[in-house]
Amino acid sequence: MGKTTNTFDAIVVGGGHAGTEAAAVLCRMGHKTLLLTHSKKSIGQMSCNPAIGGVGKGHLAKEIDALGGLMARAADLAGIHLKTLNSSKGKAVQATRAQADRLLYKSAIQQQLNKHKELTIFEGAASRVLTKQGQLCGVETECGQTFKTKKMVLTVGTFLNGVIHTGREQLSGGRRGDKPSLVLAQQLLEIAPRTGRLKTGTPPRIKKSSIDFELLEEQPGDNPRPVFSFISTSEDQPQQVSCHITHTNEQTHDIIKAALKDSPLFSGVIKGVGPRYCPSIEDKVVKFADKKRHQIFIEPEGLSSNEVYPNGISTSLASNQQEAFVRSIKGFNNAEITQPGYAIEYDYFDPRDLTPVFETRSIKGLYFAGQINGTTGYEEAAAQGLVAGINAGLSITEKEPWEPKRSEAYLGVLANDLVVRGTNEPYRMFTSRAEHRLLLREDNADQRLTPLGKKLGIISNKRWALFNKKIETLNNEKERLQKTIVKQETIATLDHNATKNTSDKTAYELLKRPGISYKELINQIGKRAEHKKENKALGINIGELLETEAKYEGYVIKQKREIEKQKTHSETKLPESLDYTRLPGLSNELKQKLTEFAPKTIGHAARIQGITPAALSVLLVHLKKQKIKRAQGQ
Amino acid sequence: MSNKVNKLSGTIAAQASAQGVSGISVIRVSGDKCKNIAKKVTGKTLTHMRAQHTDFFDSDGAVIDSVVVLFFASPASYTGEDVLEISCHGSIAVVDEILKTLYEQGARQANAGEFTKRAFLNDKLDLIQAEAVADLIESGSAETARAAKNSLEGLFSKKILGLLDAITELRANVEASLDFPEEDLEQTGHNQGVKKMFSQTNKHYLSLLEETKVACKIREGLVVAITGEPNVGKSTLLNRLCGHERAIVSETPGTTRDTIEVETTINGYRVCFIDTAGLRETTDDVEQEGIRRAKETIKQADLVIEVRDARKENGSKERVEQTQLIVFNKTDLLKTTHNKAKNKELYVSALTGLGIEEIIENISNRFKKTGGAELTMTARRRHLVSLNESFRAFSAAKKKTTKTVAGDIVAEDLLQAQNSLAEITGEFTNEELLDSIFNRFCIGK
Repeated sequence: MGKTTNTFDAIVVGGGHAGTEAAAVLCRMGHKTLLLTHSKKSIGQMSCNPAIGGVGKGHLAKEIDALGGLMARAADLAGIHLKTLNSSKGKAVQATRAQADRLLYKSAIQQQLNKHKELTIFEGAASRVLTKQGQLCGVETECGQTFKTKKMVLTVGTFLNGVIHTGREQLSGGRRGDKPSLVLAQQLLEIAPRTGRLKTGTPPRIKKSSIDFELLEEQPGDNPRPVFSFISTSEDQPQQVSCHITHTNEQTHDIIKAALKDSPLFSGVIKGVGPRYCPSIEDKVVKFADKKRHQIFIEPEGLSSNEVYPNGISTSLASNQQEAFVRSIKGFNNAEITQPGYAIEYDYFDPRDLTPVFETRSIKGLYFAGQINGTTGYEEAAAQGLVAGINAGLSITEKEPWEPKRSEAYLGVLANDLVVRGTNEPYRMFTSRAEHRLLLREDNADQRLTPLGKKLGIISNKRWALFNKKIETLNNEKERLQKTIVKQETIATLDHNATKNTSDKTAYELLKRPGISYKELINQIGKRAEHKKENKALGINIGELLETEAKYEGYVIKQKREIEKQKTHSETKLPESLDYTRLPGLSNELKQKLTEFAPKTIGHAARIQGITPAALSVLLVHLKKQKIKRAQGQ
Repeated sequence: MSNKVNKLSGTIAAQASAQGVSGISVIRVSGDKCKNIAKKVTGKTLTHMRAQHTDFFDSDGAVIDSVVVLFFASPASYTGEDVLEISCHGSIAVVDEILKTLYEQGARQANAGEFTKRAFLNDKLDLIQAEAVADLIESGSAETARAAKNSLEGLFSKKILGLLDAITELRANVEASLDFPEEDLEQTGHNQGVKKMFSQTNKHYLSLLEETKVACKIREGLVVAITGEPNVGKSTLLNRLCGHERAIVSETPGTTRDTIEVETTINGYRVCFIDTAGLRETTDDVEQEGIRRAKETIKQADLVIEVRDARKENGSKERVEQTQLIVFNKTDLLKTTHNKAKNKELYVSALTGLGIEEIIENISNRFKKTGGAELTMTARRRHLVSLNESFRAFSAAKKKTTKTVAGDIVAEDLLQAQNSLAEITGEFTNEELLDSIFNRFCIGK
């Protein structure tokens, strides 16, 4: 291998959801990138359940898409069952979810990657990070090749000290079948010494042909189908199939209770902390003993697959016990388990040791993204990969980093939560984590982020043109409604709550009222010319979007005003060298917390639990004092 | 984050002149809402450095006082922000009403040293002044914290925590249905539960608001408990102390038949005297309860005065630990001259009024020394403001559930309700909300 071929602008280690987004965005920025993976054919693999999106996660996927990422587009190309969740609970929590065909998904990711001529994919396992005077300079593989670079994104998942449990059986490794890189693990522990231990689990996979679907409740996808990517249409999606629902019963629970003594979870063998929102069936049966049944959501693995994923019965019981309880479930009486469920314990690096854009503090140019930072889920991993990739790319050309804000995207909520507060369970996105939830909707992800993506140079011309067309149409229609006066009599027929002596209002004012829909309004004032053609061309319903904007406008203005108010102080930087123990006016508890968390800005400090406005004042006054002292010293 | 960082900015208001009765009091307002607020409370448009004589209106449009307003436009002001100075008549009641109105119109209570802090951050002070500011903020934050804690003792704290639980449970239910739409939440009678929770929480709010309003009225100012055995002349002394300025505002029977609370002003400071039951052994259930409450009151008092009969100097066997001042009463009945008063002792005759001045002086000195009463008062007033804000947001949410308003907007109002409540109870994090959800519902399909 020649000298020119083994030097790259950036290297991404790992071909999962974080790694592929990082590599792709680096290429979109025009950087010569190497993707180092232990297996080319598993690039873009869905290693857990075959679904993308859902509440919070769908929001992340749309934001990744708005910045030109891979995930949402792949979910459309592989989506065999699509739904809009929470359709009646408000646009801010409305979310898209796709069941994906595993093979189609993987190939959609690989195809998108292969389009980039900047990308080199190399099969090999990273064994050592190479540094020179605290600066990153490359990576060495287990076979001894070295690749040179100044920027590297490490997305190595759950490989660190991974232990797999099935009953009393234990196996060391990452995902089933993956090899752990022990040398690399050892080195990383020196780079980032703070680690924690987590646990996660999977259910047994079941042979499709062994299930009696007649006995199960069928759940078809939505019609019309939602699309994931802002640049897709439903015609891009393959053939659609149904999901099914069944439930555990008291007999199932009895079998599980009897098996608990052999469970690694309850016999104390497993020490890692599992996610509270995704407990194993053993946990559910014990913790919610009064619940007579638990729901199981049967997800198809793919159009050509003869396996299903029974979501809701993740377990680490022994294989024969798994079979016994599975067969007690309605529709599963003759079920054949193709792969038993298992629990996996692994170490993660405390993300509080990273900068707000996921760069390690000890080695400049080295970024961590994905499950290695204590998160779970494809979307959370992809989001980090994208943010790390963008920032690695920016730093190659020595530009200012981009730290997404909490008020601008779930990407910001995720990054900020992780680097400021850390986590002690596998971190998953929920909309309730976002204090500006009404601003961060799926339907406006492109409005929030695509212009920024354009500035970063990571948006395709096609997407940009489509986006501009959408905004133009939206603005035209808004203007039309703002100019259309609706008479008093008409208002009375539209809104039963309207007071009798109401004056004439503009159509846009009326659209803000909870009881009035765009559809009803248009029945009174008429459609805009060209609406059919425009909606079709854009693949979205402009009227619906406008209605959302009108209905949320008051809240959005209020929240934006608050955000504006915070700006002056929250972005004030706190120097890393600040010795909190020497600041008078802070309690010992706060001194300790500030030292441990080492917040980067006043805004970050405010996110630490227990920090009071008075403590923030102390910090501001101290910073100012230092500034005056420096000015006087000169 | 939003709440805490917001606390560093916004428009603030506080009395700038010394506490107590004086000819004129000055109230200072600083921040970008000054002009806006001035327009609302005086109807005047402000001009830089021009004083205007005007009426000051409360939020309902009634005149509170005739005042002079003086405006300084940013940056040519003490804090560097827009500053409004209101000179009003020097009555505590007027100052209170004016501040209350300013808070209702969008200003908030300034923290200790906050005007000076802003002046400093806006380059209006030098380093030496800055050192003083740092000290001020340091001690101010400690004192404010102490005052807030003191005002959170006892029954009030129990009730406010009860309300916090109710709001948390309500939010857990609403948020669970938003974040976990496909979970089997219905099985626990989810929807019906939320409706019932709304109406129960509403009742909780109403009763707590009423009690806090009453408590604010009675408790603001220095709380002085008067203890002592029966017949040592507590009531006479109390009448004498209150009669001094003939300014009894209210006389409320206490929580038991045994305590009397009387509010008055002493040298312009608001004082609430509590005449507690005689602390003697008793087997009567009702009286025992009275004594228990009297002891509770004494614990919360800012000053405890024990009254003794000057003829029996040894006094009660059962001494109250917190006693800070011993008053020997009935000196008019002494056959010989009394002993020389030691430290923390006074000799008086409530009947003739001899020595009463010294008690008055002793009490007002305590105000001057600590300013503690002001802090406790503002802490309580802040509680009421936060509770009102919280209730407003809660009511908005409740109203929306009966209409066709989406769940995410209802949830937003509930979040605001919880944030306002957290001003009293301390920070409430997302993590705690998630805890509450996962403990209540079996999530994880």
